[in-house]
Amino acid sequence: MKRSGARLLRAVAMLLCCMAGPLMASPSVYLVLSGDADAYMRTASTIAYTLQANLPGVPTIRADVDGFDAHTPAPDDLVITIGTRAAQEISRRATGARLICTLLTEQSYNDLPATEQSQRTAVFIDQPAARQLALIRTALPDWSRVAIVHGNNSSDFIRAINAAAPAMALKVRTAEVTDDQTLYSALQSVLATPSVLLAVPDPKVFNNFTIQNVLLTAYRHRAPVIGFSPAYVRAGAIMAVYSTPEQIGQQAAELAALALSGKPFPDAGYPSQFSVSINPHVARSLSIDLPDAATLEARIRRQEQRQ
Amino acid sequence: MMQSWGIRARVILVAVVPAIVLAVFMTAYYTHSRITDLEEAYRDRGRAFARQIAAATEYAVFSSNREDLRRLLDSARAEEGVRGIFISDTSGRELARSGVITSELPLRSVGRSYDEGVNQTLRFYEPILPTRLDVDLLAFDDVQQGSTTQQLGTVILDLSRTRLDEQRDTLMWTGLSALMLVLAGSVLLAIRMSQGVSQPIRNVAEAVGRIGAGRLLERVEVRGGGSLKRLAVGVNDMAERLQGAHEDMARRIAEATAELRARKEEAERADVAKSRFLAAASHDLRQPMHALGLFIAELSEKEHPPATHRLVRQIAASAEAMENLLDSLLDISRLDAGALQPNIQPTPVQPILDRIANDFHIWAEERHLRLRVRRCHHWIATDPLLFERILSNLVSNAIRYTDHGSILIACRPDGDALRIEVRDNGRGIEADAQELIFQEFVQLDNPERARSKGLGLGLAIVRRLTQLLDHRLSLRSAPGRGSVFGVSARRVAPETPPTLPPTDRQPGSLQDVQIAILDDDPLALESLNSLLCSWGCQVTSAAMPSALIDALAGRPAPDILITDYRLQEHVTGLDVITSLRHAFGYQLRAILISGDTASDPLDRARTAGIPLLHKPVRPAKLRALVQRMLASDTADTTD
Repeated sequence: MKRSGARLLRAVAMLLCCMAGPLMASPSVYLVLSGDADAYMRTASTIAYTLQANLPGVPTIRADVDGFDAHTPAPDDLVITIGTRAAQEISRRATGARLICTLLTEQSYNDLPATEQSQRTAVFIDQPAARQLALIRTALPDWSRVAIVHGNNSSDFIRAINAAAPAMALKVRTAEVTDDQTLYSALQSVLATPSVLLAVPDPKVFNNFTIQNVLLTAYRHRAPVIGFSPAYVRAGAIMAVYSTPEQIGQQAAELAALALSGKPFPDAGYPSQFSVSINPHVARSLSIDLPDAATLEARIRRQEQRQ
Repeated sequence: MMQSWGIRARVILVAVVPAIVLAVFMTAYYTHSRITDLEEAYRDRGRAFARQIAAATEYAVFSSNREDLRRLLDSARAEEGVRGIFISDTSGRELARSGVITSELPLRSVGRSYDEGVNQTLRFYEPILPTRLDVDLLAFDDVQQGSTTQQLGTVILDLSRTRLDEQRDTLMWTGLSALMLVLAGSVLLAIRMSQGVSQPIRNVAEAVGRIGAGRLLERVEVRGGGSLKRLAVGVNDMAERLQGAHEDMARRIAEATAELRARKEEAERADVAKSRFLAAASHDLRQPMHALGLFIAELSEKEHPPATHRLVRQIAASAEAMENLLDSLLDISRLDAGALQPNIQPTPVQPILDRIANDFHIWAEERHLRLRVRRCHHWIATDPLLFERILSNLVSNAIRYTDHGSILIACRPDGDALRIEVRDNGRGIEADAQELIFQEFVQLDNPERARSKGLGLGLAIVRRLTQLLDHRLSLRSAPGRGSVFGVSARRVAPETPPTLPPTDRQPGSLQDVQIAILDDDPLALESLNSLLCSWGCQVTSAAMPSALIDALAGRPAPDILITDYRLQEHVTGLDVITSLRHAFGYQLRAILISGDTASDPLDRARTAGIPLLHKPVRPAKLRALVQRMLASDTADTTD
């Protein structure tokens, strides 16, 4: 149903484009989705809506990455990929149009084939290390240690954390999961002293099959886990800071508007807007008093604005 | 084999076989499916249990918590049938173990649920997988989801089959028992059913058997319908017709039997009448012939002018011919009456041959024939008197039917028998007449029935006598080539020939022999008296015993008593002999004379040891007998 709706929308957009083309040769915005997951749809809808509101003359054409012809966009058109796969596919095909990547991690973005800085930018899905540490600091003022278990691809993130931690008066202890060291033993080693376990968006360490055991292990050590999505919080993390698809879509639409107005792309960056989610049951189980999510959000935002 | 089965066996077979087949099939099918189900359920349980252990031990394996694992396994091992549980990590290293893990199966490393069995153990492998918690993590993105499961370890569970085997055995025994019950039940039912089916047919069969045994009044009770009814009705009809036919036949047989009996009785009556007639006739003829013979004998003793002498000789010849004819008739009637009891004893043949030669050579010479007798030293088992009669008949027959040439009497050993042959080179006999000549009154060359050629009874008598003596009579003959009559008798070892007792009397002389005669027929008495007197005997005669005793008074005791068998007032000669012997006080020699051909007098005379002569008595025969008695007087004078 959704797909047929999208198709209808696309056909209408094409029709509009054809009709408007001879009158005013304004560029188009192509929204290329990695799939039809809810998050992608929500992001695409937000971008389309925002663009429509700000630039009524610019057509937004939504396409699936598998059905998208790389030669369709003109050089002055704009392509916005939603999701990692769409970003990888479009980068590989190297259309001439400029590219805004959304809904992918910084690490995934860095792994994309190299291209000109002016032709590509991104809004990451992951949160900046400082914001995560700020959440810990704000929500758990009594905890001064942060434990991190990571894989070999997360070195950038670890570096960022290590760089930001002293400013927050937090001590970071990390352990890498390797062939010699299992996830459990890595967890054991970092949780030996009471710490807050900060989950890393590294699928090799944290994925659907490991979450339960990680949460259980942490719980046994009475260590609160900071997740990176609301679902993580529902599964048993004490809280998480994250950006919703709408927040990311909003930011991407703003970037697109800037680009369409002739401004160059800024550097790829973290989402500027974010949300906080907490799990009061887990907090109660761990005997931790937490302020509510809105309070935390406001405090972090204030803190970021202060800097 | 089945062809020889009865109805009942067939019915039982028909009823039992489907039941048995069905029962066996159903029992086998259900038992098998139950066993399969049982086994499947057992395996399912094992798999489920292994899965349960895998789920329960997930975190313990994740955290490599061996104590935790062992505790979990120990509690799991309390489950029934569990032999042992073994938990290894992904590299196959042992994490925990509880109970006994059989070494019969190698430990595999598998990435999926798997089970295998050996002997009494079922082994289940279950990978320990981390629980998937569907969290869209940060990524909203497949790449971030970690789609590959990382196996944490493997549960190996050994279950004992003992319980399963027990259940299977129970199931099989139950199935077998049920099968047996069904079999027994169906056999019983079939037997009962078969009675209903086969009983009517068996009733029919039994009724048919009884009808076959002759009880034709048997009927089958008509029951049921269709073929059964037709069968019963058919059998009844058949029995009815059989009974009718049987009665009809019985009636005809009875009629035929009655008729036959009537004919037979008639024939017997006729035969008896004939015999009686012959007996009566011969008896009545005998008396005058007897007297006539004796008178002629006496007459010929006297001096006559030559013409008269010739007349006397002719009278004598005629009388003798008549006597011969009468003798033949008498012999036949005696043989037919069964009056002759042969006295078979070892007998030398030669004396008989001598007598025959003696008797016949004059007649043969008269007919210009040569009669030759070959000597024979053999002895045979026969009645000498009857055998002599056979031979004399054959010889007289040969002389009568041979015109010229010779007649030879010869003996030939024939196995353990001796065949005495009478050969002639006479006219011979046609092959188709050879049987005919042995019948009564048959004379081949005497259509005019000239009496001088006899009555035609000679060979008939020969045949009767050979049958009586159990001798074999044979005949070889061809027309113009003469005939050979043979009589075969059993040969016996020779005995010492009796030596003739010495006698003081001149042989052949009866001078002054004292003879008493007794006969109620005056003519016979007179003729016998005259004959004996002409032989020189001293005769005392009487018609009554008392008169004889009176007449003998004062005279010397008689040497011989000759008495008629049948006297007046129902007194027999035997009675007289007994009383006279008593009166004279010594064993008086006696001769009985009888005109009867009945066997009774002969038997009684033989029993008493007294010789009996049939009337008409030949003078020569009487004289010979008297001489023989006088010659053997040694024993008789005692007492």
